[in-house]
Amino acid sequence: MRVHNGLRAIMLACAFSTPLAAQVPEQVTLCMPLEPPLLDPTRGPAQAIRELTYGNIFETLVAIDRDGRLQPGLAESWKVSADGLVYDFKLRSGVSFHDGTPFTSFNVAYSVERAKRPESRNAQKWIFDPILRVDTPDPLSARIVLSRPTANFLYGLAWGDAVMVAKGSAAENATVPVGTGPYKFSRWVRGERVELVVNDRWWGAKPTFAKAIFRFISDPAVQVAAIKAGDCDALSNLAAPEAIPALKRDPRLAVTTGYTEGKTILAMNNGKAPFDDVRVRRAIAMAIDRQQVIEGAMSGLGIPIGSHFSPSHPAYVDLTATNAYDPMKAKAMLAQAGFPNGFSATLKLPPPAYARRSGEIIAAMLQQIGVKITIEPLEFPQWLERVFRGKDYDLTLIAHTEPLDINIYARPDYYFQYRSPAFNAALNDAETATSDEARNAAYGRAQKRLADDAVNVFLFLLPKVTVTKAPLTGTWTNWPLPANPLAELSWK
Amino acid sequence: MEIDGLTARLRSGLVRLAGLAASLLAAAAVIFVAIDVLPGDPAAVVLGLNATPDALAALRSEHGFDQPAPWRFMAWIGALAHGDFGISTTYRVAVAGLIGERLAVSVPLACLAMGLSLSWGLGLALLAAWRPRFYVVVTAFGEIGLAIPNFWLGLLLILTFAVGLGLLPSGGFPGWEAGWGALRALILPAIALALPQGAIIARLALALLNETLAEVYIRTAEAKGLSRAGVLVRHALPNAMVPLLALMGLQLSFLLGGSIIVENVFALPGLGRLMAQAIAQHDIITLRALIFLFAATILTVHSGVGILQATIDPRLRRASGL
Repeated sequence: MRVHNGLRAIMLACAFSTPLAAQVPEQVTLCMPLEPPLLDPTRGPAQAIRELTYGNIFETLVAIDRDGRLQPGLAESWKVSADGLVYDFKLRSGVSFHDGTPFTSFNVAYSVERAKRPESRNAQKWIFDPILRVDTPDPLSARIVLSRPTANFLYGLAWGDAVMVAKGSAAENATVPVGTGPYKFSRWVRGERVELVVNDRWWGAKPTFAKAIFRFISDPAVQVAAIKAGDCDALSNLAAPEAIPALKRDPRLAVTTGYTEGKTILAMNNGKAPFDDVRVRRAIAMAIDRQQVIEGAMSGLGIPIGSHFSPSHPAYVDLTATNAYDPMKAKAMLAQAGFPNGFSATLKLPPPAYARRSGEIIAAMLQQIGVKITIEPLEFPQWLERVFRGKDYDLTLIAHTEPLDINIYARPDYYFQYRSPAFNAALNDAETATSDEARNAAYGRAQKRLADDAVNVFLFLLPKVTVTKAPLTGTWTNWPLPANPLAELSWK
Repeated sequence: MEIDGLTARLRSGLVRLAGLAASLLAAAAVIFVAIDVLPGDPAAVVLGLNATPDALAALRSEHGFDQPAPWRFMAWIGALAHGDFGISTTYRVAVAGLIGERLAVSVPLACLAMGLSLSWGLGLALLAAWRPRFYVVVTAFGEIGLAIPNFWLGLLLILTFAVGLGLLPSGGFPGWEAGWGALRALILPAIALALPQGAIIARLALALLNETLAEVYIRTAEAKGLSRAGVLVRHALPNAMVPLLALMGLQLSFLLGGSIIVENVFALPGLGRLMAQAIAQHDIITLRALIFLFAATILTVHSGVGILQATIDPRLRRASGL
C-alpha cells in the first residue's frame, strides 16, 4: 500500500512538473475520434469527412457559422425572387481552386449537375431535388431555378454535401481533395493522420497556422492521455465525459461543453403492434425519466428535447413537458390499452456508447411499468440492414445527427413507419412558407404533432466536449453542423 | 545414393508446396462463405441513411455485389492469383495498397516486439537455469507478464513515459519519412506487446532447459569439466530450440495480425486497426483480403518453422525426408 501511494505520488509529481510538449507556433494538431473513410463530402455520409474538410479544404456558396447562422461563402451575396423560385448568386471574384482552376458559375452548374446524377453517391440528394436548372449568365453570376418553393434551400446549400468542386479534379476528390478553402491537402497517413498546408491564395484573412494536422484517436482514455501529453492541441469531441472534472482541474487545458444537432431518440416501430397504439407509445414516453438518462448515460451532458427538433433553431418549441415522466400514469395508460400486466419487447442497440448506456437505463425504467425488455446489441451494418431497412424491431435507440431533419417523419416507409396527414400538412406549410414567421409557426405545429403522437421518445441532444491547450482560441463550442474551421484558430 | 536423396528432397518439397496451396484454397473458400453470409449490405453502410435506391444499385454493381455467389468467388480467386485484392468499399482505393501501407507499420512493430520478447524471455530463462537463486525473479516476471492485460499496460506506459516524463509520444505514427521519430513511436507499443510474449517464452524456455539439465548426458558433460554456462549454451539451449521455434512461429503470426488492441491504444495505423475498421464499416472486400492474408501468413510461417526445426533437429529431418 505504501509502495502504491509512493508510486502515485511520483507519477502525479511528474504529471504536474512537466510542461506540455513545446508549442509549434506555425502548426496546429487537432485530434478527432474517427477517421474519415474518404475526403470528399459529396460522396459519403460520414460525419468525419465534414469535420475535416468543411470550411478547410472545401467551401460552399453559403456557409453556416459557429452560431448556426447563414453567412456568405463563395457567394458574396444573393437575392431570392418573391415567389421563392429563383436564387441569384453573385460570386466572389478572384477565387481559384488549389490546382489553380478559377472558380466561376460554371463550377456551380457542374457541382449541382454532378450531385443530381442518378448514380451520384451524394448522401443528401434531397438538397438538390428541388433544383430545376442552373443558369450561368456570366462567370460571376449563378442563377438557380427551383421547381417548387423550398424554405430550407439555402440552408441545404450550406451543407458539406453541397461544396463546390471543379470538373477536372472532382473524380479524385475522395483521395486527393481539391477545393477552394483556406487549407490545401498535403498528405494522408491512412489510419493515423491527414496533413494540410495553408492556401496562400485564399480570399479570406490569412490564417494563423501554416500547417495543420488532423489525428484520429478513437479510444477515450487514449484521447485524454494524448491531450495531457501535449500531442494534441485540441480534441474536437471528447468521448469520455467522465474525464471532464480531471481535465478541468489541469491549468494547462481548457474544456468547453456544448451541443451538436444529434437528436437522440428511443425509436418505436409505429407500424407494429403494440406500438401502433398511441396509448402504448405515450405510456412508454411517460415511463422514461429523461433527466436521469442524461445523468446516468452522459454524465449530465446533453440538452433535453421534447420533439425531433434542436433548441438552437429559432422555430424550436419546448415540448419536454408533453408526456412527462409519470410511471403511475404510464401504467394506467398501458392498462387502458389492454396491457394491465405489461408486455415483452426487444430493444436493438447500435454500437455507440451513448446508445448502449442509455439503452440499459431505459430498459430498467420500462421494467417499472411492466414492459420486459430484452436488449439486443447490433453492429452498425446489421442495424442498418435489420432495423433501418428491414424495419424488423420493436424499439431502438439512435441519434439522428443531421440538422433540421424533421422531414424524415413525412417519409411513409421510414423505419419509424409513422403516417400522419396532419404532420405532413404542417411540414409542407413550413417548407413552402415564404416568410420566416409563417415557416417557424408551421415548424412549431409539426414539432407539437410529433410530441403529442409520441412517435418516438425524444431524449437529448448529443453533447460536444472540446478540450484544448489553454492558449488556443477559436474552436467551435457547438456544432450547428460538424466542422472544425482551422482558419478561425489562433494562440492567445 | 546422392541423387536418390536429392529427388526425395525435391519430391517432399513439392508435396509441402502442394499442401500449402490446397490449404490456402480451402481457407479462401471458408473465408468467402463466412463473410458472404454476414448480414448487412456494404452499399447501405457506405451511402448512409438517406441513400437513394439508384445510388445503392450503382454502388453494388460497381463492386460486383449483384453477381451470383459462385461467380463472385471465382472472380475473387482469379484476381487473388494475380495479386489483385480488389477495391475497398470504404476507402475507394486498391486494398493491396492499403495493406501495403499498414504492413510498413505492422511488420517492423512485430519484429521489434519479437526481438524484445525473445531477448528478455530467453535471457531470463538462461539466467535462472544458470543461477537457480534467480528462479523466483523469472517466475514473478512470468506471472506478471501473463496477468497484465496489454491495453492496461499500454495505458500505463503512456501515462508514465508520455504524460508523466514527456520522453516519448503518447501514440500515433508520423510515417517512416520522420526517421527516428517513427522508431520512437514504436518503442512503447513494442514493449506493451513484448512483455506478455516474453513471459510466455521465459516460462516455456525455463521448463525445457530444466528438463534437459536433468538428463544423464549433462551430468557426463559436467563430469568432463564443462562449466554450467557451457552446458547451457552447448547442450541445453539447442535442445530447447525446437519447441521454442514452434511457439515463436505462433507468436509472430499473432503479432502481425492480432495486435488490434495495442494498435488502438497507441493509435497506430497497423493491420489490426485496418481490420477493426473493415469490420465496423462492413468493408467485405478489405475484410476478406485481410483474413486471407492472415491465414496465408500462419500457414507459411508454420511451414517455415517446420523446415527450420528440421534443420536444427536431425531426427525431424530424417522423418520428413528433408
